Amino acid sequence: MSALVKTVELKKYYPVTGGVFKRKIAEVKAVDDVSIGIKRGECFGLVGESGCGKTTLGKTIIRLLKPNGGNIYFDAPDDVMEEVEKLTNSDPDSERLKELRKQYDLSTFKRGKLRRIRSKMQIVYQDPTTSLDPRMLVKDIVGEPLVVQKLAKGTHVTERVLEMLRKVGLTDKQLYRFPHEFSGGQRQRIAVARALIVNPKLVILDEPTSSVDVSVRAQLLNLFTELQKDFGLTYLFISHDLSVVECISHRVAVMYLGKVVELARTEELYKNPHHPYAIALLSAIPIPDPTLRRQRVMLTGDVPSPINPPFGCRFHPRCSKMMEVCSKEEPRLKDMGNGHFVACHLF
Amino acid sequence: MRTLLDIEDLVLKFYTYEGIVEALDEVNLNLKEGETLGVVGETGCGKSVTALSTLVLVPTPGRIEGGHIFFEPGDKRVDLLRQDESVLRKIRGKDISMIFQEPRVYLNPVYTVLDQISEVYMQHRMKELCKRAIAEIDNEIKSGKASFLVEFDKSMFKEMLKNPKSSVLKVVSKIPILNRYKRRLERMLRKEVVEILRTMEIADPERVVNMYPHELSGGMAQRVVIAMALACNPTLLIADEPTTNLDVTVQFQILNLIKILKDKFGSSILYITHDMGVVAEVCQRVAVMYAGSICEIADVMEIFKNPIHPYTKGLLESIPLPGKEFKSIDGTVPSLINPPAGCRFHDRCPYAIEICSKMKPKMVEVKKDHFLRCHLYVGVRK
Amino acid sequence: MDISSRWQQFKVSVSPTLKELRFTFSRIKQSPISVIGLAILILYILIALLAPVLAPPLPKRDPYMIPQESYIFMPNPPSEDHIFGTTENQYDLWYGCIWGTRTAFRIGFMVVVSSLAIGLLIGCVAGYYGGIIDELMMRFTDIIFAFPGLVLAMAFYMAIPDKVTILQFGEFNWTITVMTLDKVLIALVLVGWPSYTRVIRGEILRVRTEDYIEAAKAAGCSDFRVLVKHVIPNSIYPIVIMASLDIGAIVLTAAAMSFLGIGAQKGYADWGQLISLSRNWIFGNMNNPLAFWHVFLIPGIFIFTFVLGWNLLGDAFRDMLDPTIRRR
Repeated sequence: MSALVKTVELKKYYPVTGGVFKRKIAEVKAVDDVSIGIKRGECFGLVGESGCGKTTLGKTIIRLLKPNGGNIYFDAPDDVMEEVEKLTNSDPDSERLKELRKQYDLSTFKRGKLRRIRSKMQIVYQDPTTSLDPRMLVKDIVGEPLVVQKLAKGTHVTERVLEMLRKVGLTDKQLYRFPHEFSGGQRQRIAVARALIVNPKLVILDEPTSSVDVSVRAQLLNLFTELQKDFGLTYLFISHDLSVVECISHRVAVMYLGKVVELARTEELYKNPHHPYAIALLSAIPIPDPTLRRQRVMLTGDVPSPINPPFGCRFHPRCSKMMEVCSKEEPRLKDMGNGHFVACHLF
Repeated sequence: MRTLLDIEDLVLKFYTYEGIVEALDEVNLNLKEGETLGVVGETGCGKSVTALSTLVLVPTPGRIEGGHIFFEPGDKRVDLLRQDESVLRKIRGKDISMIFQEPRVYLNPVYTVLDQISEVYMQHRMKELCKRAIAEIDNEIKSGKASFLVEFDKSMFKEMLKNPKSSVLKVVSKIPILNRYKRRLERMLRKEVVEILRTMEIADPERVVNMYPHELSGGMAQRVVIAMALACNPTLLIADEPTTNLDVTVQFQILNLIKILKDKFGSSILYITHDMGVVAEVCQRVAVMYAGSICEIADVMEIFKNPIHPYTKGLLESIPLPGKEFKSIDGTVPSLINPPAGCRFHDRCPYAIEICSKMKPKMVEVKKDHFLRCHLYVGVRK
Repeated sequence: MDISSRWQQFKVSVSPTLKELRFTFSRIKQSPISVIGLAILILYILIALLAPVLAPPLPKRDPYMIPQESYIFMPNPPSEDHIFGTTENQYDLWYGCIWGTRTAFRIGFMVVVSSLAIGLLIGCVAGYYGGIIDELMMRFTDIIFAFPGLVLAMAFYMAIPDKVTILQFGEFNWTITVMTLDKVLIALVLVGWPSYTRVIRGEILRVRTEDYIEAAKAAGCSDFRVLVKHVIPNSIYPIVIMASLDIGAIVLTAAAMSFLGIGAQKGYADWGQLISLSRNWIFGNMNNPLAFWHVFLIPGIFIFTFVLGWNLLGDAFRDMLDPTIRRR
């Protein structure tokens, strides 16, 4: 499968201002040198705890945030990607590379071009209560992307909206209602309908099941799998709920303080995690079976602030297997074979 | 084991502009001494208001309209719903404590951690502190290390012991030199608070004690709230989804902490959650709640191995497992303004029979210690 | 066939908005304060609409000029001819108060709507774009705010010329005469817009970070569309409340300015004017201090109840539209 999205050393920093003149005194390195590739048609899981930067990464990939560095190659054919890779290694300043970047690198897109490409990438937010405009009817909410992207007009819009609502499991009657008249699960379906109505290729699902009940969660997960098959979508599934990610993703990446520490196929990661943080994270999941007790690794302390991350490997102060090199040098993602990458000096 | 808390036929209604919300419909629960009872249910099923009702702190449009809440910490059995506010205030924080879901919202943002935990102490353990202060002063006098005005401090503490609200105290506490006794009190409180934070496994409690709530991380804030709740060694601790908003590794730490503290202090815990994984970790018995009434109560092993109520079964089946198809419960939670007649689950139940839509089932003990509210199993006995 | 189905569709599409409105009205009905406020305002609206019937204007005269029977200086108490009596120089109080209702509405609405429009424009741009634009606009607003309102209004009043030439091209000359009342209105607008700007900017700052705004941007909406279709409808409610409270306040300020001598021309049907005319008669005679009570009390009661009506309605709006209290 070819890559739909490929990020190369993507960076997103937030300035911290202080002092009388509000000068930049520090930076929050929310996403720091992340290079991942999302294959077409797959569901790519992204897990991590609060402050690790997973939501920031998702939003930066679809350019809701402007990256501070790095590239985001979107929807480029395989041969173009190969060429880009060759040129980046051999001749980074070439004109040809610049041309290719202008065509495929989202970080170079501005205004009009960016607006046009937005129909190819959409996002579903975590909290359906705040992600739907409370003063708009469902028809307008779901129809808006069509109107804005100039893909349909007038009654044609209503037809498309009805079609979409039926696909996500809502009825015609609910077309003319306000969001607050619906339950959480239904609102999330409206958000999904809004995201899919423009036929995007990539959908970022930012913790879509965190704000809904357990019984509705299964309904939504079913909906996501069905829609992925029907529409040929590619998902970036961001979540802190590791059990849900295990069920729906093909590959999973674990993030910590702005960096990807481990990336593997789902079964591989959950059965055989390598990075100490990934091991601790996976062992902390409570099992809904009182007879099974897991081998637990408990971490000390809290997640440190991303403003002044520890030097070297960012996890080293909390790591039980810390070595001297960990506080000096940052580990890079190494290929352990079988598509399993780890960023740790132990390997 | 004897019963500590017994909720019998609790009925709670909210009178809103949109209608009367029948939030709790004859809830029956009992909690034995020393155990952790989990109350599981989805949003809107009424678990939080059950907890608030136990403390008789339900917000205004809500009115408790029936039932009893029997609380038996020692040898006296009191019905919490029929007590005066003054009696209740003595119980809250001391015999029954509560910890909430979003810790930073429940901490006052303008007071430091020290101030807030001290407040709990001052409210309930004032006498103990005064006695200790007096003993300390006596020791100082005996060993000759007494500084001047110490006799005056002692008389102030005696006054506090007798009548904490006396006007003499009020006046003296404002006069600059004479209110030195306060320093001793503050010193003692500070030591107590640092100790309790250390028990909560907070690293460097000396520093944390002076922080404001917004400076604390989620995990630390939750520990502070737990510290406040446990400051007076309550007999019953009500935990309303304390780890829902925390990261999974922090959740693990807090759950571990709660287990350790329970063993240390011997409290009983009423643990409210919607996460079956947490229930399996922490609870000994489980009560499953749906739309304002309890469906099933049983031992935690029983509930997971042999769930009987269709809702419990549906809930357990909808837990996502890899490789398995996602199963969910059809339909949505009914609006409690006009709840369905009969059993509130009947319109979503795959096994519903005719009687389910007509009559509400009663809570019946179908096996030893396994209570159920369902028409399908009425005939089943031990 | 087509028309009836279209009508059906229209009815269905409007029904949720209607349901919301009905809910709002039922909330209004439940609070006695708001019912009183609404009643007062409806009464005034009726008076304003029926002004030509209640106090027929003299033919061939600007209806806003109060008729004078004679030119006697001393006011006359209420009598059969003059229901409310007459004020200084024999201006008929009944006429003045009735037509003054129209003027009051005019002053209130025009000033508030204009201030709102300016405030909306500046507040939106400042709040939405932030950064240096925000800083500049807000500092400018602060400067205007720093002046005492009434004094600044008087200064503006003085500064506005009487005749303004809009176009001048050779022979062709288009000048308009600015009436004193209009000068007052413009002055009040120039003094009043900062408060709206501040409130609107605050609301926009709050709404700007909400998820649905970002979702709209993710769909590709232009900034303008996001502002008009998403941000403004969600931030408008505090403004509505503020505006309704302000209408009363503006009328009061205009009356105060009239009392100080800056206002409509002498003889104009305006409550402030009537109060201004009563300046000499507040203390009446030596023997009877309240001899001329009708001269200031009657226009005063009109002003008082008008402002009260708007204040009650504004309070009611606030309780009704505040989303946290609304669905209790």
